[in-house]
Amino acid sequence: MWHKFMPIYRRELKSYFTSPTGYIAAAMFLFLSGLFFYGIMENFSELSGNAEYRKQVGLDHVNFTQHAVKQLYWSINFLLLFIVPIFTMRLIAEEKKSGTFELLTSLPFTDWNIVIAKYLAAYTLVAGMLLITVYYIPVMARFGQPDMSVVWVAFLGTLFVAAAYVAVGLFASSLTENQITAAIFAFVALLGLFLIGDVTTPTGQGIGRTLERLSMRWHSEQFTQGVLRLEDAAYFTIIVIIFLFLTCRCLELRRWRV
Amino acid sequence: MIRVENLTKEFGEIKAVDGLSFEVNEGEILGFLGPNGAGKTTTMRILTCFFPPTAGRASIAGFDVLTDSHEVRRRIGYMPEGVPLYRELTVISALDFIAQAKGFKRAQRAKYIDMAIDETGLGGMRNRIVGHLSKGYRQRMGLAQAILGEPKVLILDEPTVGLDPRQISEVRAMIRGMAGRRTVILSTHILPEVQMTCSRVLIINNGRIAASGTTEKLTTQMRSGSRSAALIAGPPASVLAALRSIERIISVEAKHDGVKSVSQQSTSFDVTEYMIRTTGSAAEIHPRIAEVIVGQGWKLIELRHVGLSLEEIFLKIVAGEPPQNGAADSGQEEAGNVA
Repeated sequence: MWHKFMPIYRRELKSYFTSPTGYIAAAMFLFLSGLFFYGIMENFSELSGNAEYRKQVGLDHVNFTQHAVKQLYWSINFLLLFIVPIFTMRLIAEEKKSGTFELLTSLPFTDWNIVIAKYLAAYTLVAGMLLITVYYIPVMARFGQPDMSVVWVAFLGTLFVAAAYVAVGLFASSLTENQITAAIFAFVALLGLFLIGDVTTPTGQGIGRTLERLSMRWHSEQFTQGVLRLEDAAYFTIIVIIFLFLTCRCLELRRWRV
Repeated sequence: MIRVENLTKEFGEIKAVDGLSFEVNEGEILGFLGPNGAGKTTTMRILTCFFPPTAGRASIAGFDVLTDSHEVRRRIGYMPEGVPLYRELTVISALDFIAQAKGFKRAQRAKYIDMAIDETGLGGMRNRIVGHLSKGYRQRMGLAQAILGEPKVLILDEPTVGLDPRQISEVRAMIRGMAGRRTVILSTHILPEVQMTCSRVLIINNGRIAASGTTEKLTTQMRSGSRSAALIAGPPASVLAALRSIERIISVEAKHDGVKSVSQQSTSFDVTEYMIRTTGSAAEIHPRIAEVIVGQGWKLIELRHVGLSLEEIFLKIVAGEPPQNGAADSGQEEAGNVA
């Protein structure tokens, strides 16, 4: 079973490490999230040390977990909307363009083998990149008193969010032969899914509420607030399954295109 | 080994492949010949399970491409058009990927990779990045991927496109060397390639078989009636008339660019080259021509048999000129007129 996925998985990882795109995307992500982290930490120190400033922004007291941790992971989740498409854009688009897709399909793999192996390879990279941000946690613990359970839930949430993003990105990559187009598709789709709850005023009822509950933003905010709920984890898992399924269908289109 | 029955593939209105049937026996090298857009790649894609046929069946080693695609794909090596490769990998890791994909264990993989590298002469390139290889070596790389793990059937789509003449002959020699050991289908629109590498040819045009048979047989069949060139010194109009009156000569043309004015000792005649198409063989016709020309007092300077080249046969078939003596049905009978 496993040997059906491993060849493609390993090859994808090798390709990532031999082309500059992955490094550039990871560097961009780490730089920007580091910048956010720095800004958030500095803002918090300003808030906690300056009563006048606190009054200006209308806060009586500040809470490190509320202000720093939540903002940091929200920013990371948002930043990933832009970064993940760069990781996923080449996955299928490039193979279609260079013709290796035809070679790949002539090997004894099923479409599911291809899709899942590619998905896991891209996710491994994105998750690896996220693991690097773990060093923020001791830094936060050194300069504040974060509620560690909130931190870990928020971080776990980011891993779930990234999993969904990668699936959407993989699907976008299967739609076209052009990597840039794939990245744009992925970004637009992700942004749409992220913000779908914001198209109406959240009224707490009716269609507005339904759309809010469907949005990735709402579910990811549960994690960043430190709320660990099965339904949020299930939401992102279902997104993964749906988009992997759609990717498979899309690869199959070659068989039925008339 | 490969059996194709009534294969049809439609893309909307267009029938890319239209009722194709053929068989390839074990160890045979079949040349798939046709102009661009004839349906060669489509047929190969069906055989490699890229997409299913609209109608008809195809099977490799007894496994149907539709229902047993997994088994089919374990038994084939495929080099798609344009030799797509994973350019960012090294030669050895790209080959290892293919070997893993084909499901070989570690020890077997090493053995098969060495065999493929030896056969294709990639020895010195093991650790080079595929994308940095020259075109010729990339082509070898494509072949190495295809032959990796000794598949029973090789499917090569235009294996020599874009190579320089020396590389072309190397690749052809490589393919020729596979005769008997492997069953190969290769596609090309280059005729000499087929003559040089294949044991059998299938000419396809507009998705249909236009002709098939061994290269010798095809050539012979299409040479139904032969062609001769004669260099005759005599008044062209009279010579033409005289030649045309000879039995079994279909047509005679004076080649005007072949006119040389030669003054001979006594008389001065224009020497003209005539192209003569006949239904008989040279052995029957040439003596008659000589007799007539000499009888008239003209001078027969040269008389030679000119066969149709495979190129001409191909054009004839593709242009829709019906081949005589039934070359289209790979019939058993040999054409009568062997020149």
